[in-house]
Amino acid sequence: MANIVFQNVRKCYGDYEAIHDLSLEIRDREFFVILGESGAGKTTTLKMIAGVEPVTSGAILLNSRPIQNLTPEERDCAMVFETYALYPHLSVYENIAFPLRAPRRRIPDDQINQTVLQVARVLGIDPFLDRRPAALSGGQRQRVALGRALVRQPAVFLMDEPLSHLDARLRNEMRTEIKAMRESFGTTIVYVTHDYSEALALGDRIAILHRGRIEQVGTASQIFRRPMNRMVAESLGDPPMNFLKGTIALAQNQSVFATGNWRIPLPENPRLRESVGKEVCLGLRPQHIRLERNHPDTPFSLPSKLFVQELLGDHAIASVAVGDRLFMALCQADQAYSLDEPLYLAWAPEHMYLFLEDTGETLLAEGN
Amino acid sequence: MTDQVSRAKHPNPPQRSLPYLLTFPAMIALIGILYPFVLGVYYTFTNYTLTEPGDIQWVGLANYVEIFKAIDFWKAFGVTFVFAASAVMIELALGLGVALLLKDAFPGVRILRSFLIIPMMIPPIVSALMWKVILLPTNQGVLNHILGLVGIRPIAWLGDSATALVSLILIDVWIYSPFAVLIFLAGLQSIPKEPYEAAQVDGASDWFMFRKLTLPLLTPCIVLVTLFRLIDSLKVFDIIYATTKGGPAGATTTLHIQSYFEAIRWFRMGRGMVYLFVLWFLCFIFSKALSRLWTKVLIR
Amino acid sequence: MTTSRPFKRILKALGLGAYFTFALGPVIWIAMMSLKNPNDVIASPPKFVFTPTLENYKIITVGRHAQGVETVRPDYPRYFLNTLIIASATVVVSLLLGTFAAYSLARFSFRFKEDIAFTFLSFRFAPELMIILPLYVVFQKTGLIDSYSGLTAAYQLITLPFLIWVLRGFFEDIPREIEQAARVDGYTWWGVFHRISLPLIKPGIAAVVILSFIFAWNNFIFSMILGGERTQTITLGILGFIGYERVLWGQMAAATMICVIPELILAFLVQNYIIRGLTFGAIKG
Repeated sequence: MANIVFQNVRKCYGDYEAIHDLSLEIRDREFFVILGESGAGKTTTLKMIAGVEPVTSGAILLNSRPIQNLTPEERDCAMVFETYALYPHLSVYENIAFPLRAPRRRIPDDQINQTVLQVARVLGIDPFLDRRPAALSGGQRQRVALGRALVRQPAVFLMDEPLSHLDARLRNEMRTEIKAMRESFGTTIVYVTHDYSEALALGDRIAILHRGRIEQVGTASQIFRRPMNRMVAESLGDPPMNFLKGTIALAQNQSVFATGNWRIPLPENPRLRESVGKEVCLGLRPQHIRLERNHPDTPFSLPSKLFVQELLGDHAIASVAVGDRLFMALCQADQAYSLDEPLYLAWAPEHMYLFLEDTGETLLAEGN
Repeated sequence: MTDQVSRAKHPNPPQRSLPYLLTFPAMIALIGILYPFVLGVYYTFTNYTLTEPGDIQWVGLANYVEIFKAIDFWKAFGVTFVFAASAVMIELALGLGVALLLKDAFPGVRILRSFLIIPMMIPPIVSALMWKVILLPTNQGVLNHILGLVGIRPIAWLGDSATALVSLILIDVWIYSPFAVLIFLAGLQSIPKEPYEAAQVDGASDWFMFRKLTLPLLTPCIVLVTLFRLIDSLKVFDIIYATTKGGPAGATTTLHIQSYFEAIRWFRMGRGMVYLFVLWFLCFIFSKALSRLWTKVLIR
Repeated sequence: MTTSRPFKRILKALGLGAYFTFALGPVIWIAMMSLKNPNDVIASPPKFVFTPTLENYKIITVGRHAQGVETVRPDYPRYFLNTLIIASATVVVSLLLGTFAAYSLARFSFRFKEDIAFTFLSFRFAPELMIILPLYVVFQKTGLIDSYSGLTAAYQLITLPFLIWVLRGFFEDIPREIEQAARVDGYTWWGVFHRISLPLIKPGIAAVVILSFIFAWNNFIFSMILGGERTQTITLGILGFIGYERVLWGQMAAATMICVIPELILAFLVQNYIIRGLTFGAIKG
């Protein structure tokens, strides 16, 4: 059983507050991903679970036992560091065996040997067992770091951006392997990354961390389709969501999105009624935008002019100017547009997002 | 709340006191050094004489007044400064010059660089004795002999008050200029090549590049060499003791040497400590100022 | 820089030649002196060509020459041994005290940390007699004058601040995450310290140990004031070859060579760390 609870955890470095009032529950056997940009506090959060960073205030519970005052070696966590943190003066074998040799565990040598060889074989690093980390490639070192964590069977696996320093192909390979490993081990994993597609692919649940605060926790589907605020919506998706500023106005007793001369009808919604007159932001994902040469037969459209089109082999990204903003839309590779060509954007109303300008709060999301 | 519960279970995590425990033994050494220091300062206000150890009387600032009024003190003060300033400036110039010669690769440069440490590793007092031999006054001394080959009459290097201090400066430069060379070498080798290549493309002369690129980039090295050499030459002792012992006629008597005479030769501990305290104060303010300058220059 | 014309090259060579003659000449001269017999040594004008002899070395190591040639210091081997004992003991004590202090300053943050660190550093810049003279009084009262333990304690002023300051730098160079990984793997701070941190700075420790040993070996002023007949060190011993009536140059030169050659060998071993050592870690090199 490994259930982790953060209760109002704060982390300060001198005067700088890195983590504000973090409360979170990570369930047993869950693959929990913390997603955020650099400096958001993801590594700090992970290190607070491991115990190498002290908590300024608040509590961290492991299976309902407070652990925030325990030393790292007393907690039952294994961690894969972003920089791998391999022991340079030890061989690969010794690196992996190191956790097992800790005096507190009292594991006999032959058992250590067995376990190390097993893990090395699984990860495909048994040919390198007597090499030093300096003589290994990045991918090999990453596997050694993984091996060092796997060899222990701890209550929790902590992984700090383990794939970020690998090249694209290796990254995808390792991602699949990690997912497969997860199936066979079933231990709770807390995984930190800044890559949103990694987060969506691996995580049972994902927490979006932004400047030391949790913006939203949910499954991939939940946070992607129903983001709680603009920040969450913006951080998921490539190319990212397009935004257009405007206000909520009333036209013939119906709420509409008004910007410039354009009016776009909004669905019936008491929240929207309340927010009439407020400044808002319309959000549209690139994959939900259709480009039409002729005026589409729907109120959910906007005129635009082509700015640039990037051809990416199997698809293309068109950047179009909507008013003074640039929108990106995904389109077919064989649809070539010319510079400044007037185009219409069209979309289905259930793909429309609306956010309050001042708080970023979501008023409308997928499916409305 | 759970916070109080957790604190009750682990009242004082052992990590908090660990750093103090670890530094504790070294702290004892620290106290072992600070105690004599404070004692020394105390002695400056007494008439402590080593021949009458039981009879120590507080005299307030009497020692200070007496010493500051004596011409011998100011002479020693002047000698200290002249020695330190001259030695530092020569070592800076020589150090930079030799470093510039050594910075490019050529066959044998590595061996030459490794020879540099030799003068620094010999005990200073031994080096001074070596030079005493070389600087022997008559033709017996190697230096006089060599100078004689070009027609210069033998000079009593260490015996003549006109040349004694110069000779000592020479010895200090011999021992410590390699320090400056090594620092400047490290500094020169860490200067990037690009600004020079750009300047050459723009048609700059060697001297211009040296003045506008090299020197400014070497400022941290200059400050570092000055920091160590200035302080060390202010408090030089071994070299003087081995050769002239402050003579002839006080020409090479620095504050440090004079303090030795006051305390050990003439048993006047109180007065001796005053010389030392003044010297300590000089070293302290210079080291603080130069350290601060060093951190400032480094950031740039 | 600009291509060096042959003229520049010649100037360079002359400059380097002059400097290295200056730097190495005296040492070579003393080496030659150590191999000269008593007459050649005091020859005026000085002799560059002579028949070498090992007589001087024999005299100072073995004692009074059978044929009654005088030596002022029959105890030279004893001084060598004294210096060896005191320097070694000093370094061992400094290691024991200083390594932990250096690690603590490198890794933990605690009140007064930088004040303590700076105080250690400031001893490097203080005039030695300022400490030694009052210490002389203290030693007199406690009977520590001319004792190995007293000198080892006093010599800490030479080696301890140096060792702490430079080792601190080496510890700080170890990436924090490596030590954190070891903690997470199940080791206490002590386990991490002696299995990871210390092994990783082994070359640094070796360099600091050798340099500290050299600094302690080279010291004169501590030994002169706080030492005595029993603990007399080699630096004082060499001074003793200069008597009031006659100076035994040849023997002094031989004594110098015996004193200096071991140190030069040690110094060559650490030449890669020497800049870091001499500047108290201010420049990593």
